[in-house]
Amino acid sequence: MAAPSIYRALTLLYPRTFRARYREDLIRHHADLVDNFGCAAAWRRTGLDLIITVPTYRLESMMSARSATIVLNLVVVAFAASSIAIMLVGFPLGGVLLGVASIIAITQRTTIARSLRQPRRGPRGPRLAASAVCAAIAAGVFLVAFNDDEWGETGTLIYSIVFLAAAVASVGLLAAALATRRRPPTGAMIAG
Amino acid sequence: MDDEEAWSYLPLPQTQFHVLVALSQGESHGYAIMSSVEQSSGGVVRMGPATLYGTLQRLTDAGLIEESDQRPSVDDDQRRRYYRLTGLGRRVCRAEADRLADLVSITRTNLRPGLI
Repeated sequence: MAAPSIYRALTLLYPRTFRARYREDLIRHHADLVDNFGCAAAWRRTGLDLIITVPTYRLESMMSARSATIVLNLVVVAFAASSIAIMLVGFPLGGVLLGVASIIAITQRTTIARSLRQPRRGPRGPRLAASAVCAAIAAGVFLVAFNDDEWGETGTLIYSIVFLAAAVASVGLLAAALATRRRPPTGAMIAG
Repeated sequence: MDDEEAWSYLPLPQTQFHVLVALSQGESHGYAIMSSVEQSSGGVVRMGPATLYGTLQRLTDAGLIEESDQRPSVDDDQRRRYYRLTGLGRRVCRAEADRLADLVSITRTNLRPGLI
């Protein structure tokens, strides 16, 4: 019959990962619809389904939920770190960036919370990420403060404390992360 | 707490909730899930194949359902994939049902005959 072959060819429009996982299920499902409802009714249902889902799934594969969440987290961290660095240089307006980061974090708190609450992956990843953030703060403070001789004694003391705290935290978190056993993904993550 | 984790998934998209409700009756394969959803919704909710399997993928990735190795009978097509609710999926399904029940109750109270 020509209809299953046509639908089989049309499933090639779906993203590779979706196809690899569900192509045979889609084709069998379409064949069952043809058997139970007839060719015309089956194509009315699957035709509309194709029109809606192909562009949607293509777009999602380009910007997966996980990558969007990673970008979101990086944007919040970058805004916050930039704000701190700018305020340390002496520009209080850097607080505007901190406000923006806070607004993003609050409005997207559910998404961020879910991405951080990844119990299946263990604490190793978050510790590495936190170590990287502390290292970035330490590096930023070092580049800005220690290369400028205009800071007074008090300013130098403050920046030294911030630099040392960030550096120690970074090293401590890195050591903790390396000492943490990497947890294998759960069955749900490797299904299919 | 378990309830807090379940409530963090709400509100559920309609298609996802319908699939969870279908699976609350027991393990089922994709075509049977589609038929169950259509029947329970009085024909209002009709899912195409890709919509159905996209929903199954999202629910599996979220840990609310999982594939089952068991088959109801030896004669069943071994190529069909069966799905079942996880413990988290059961709690989320119940939480969404409770939320919708509250909504229905409020609506019926506000729109009861005599008030309009």
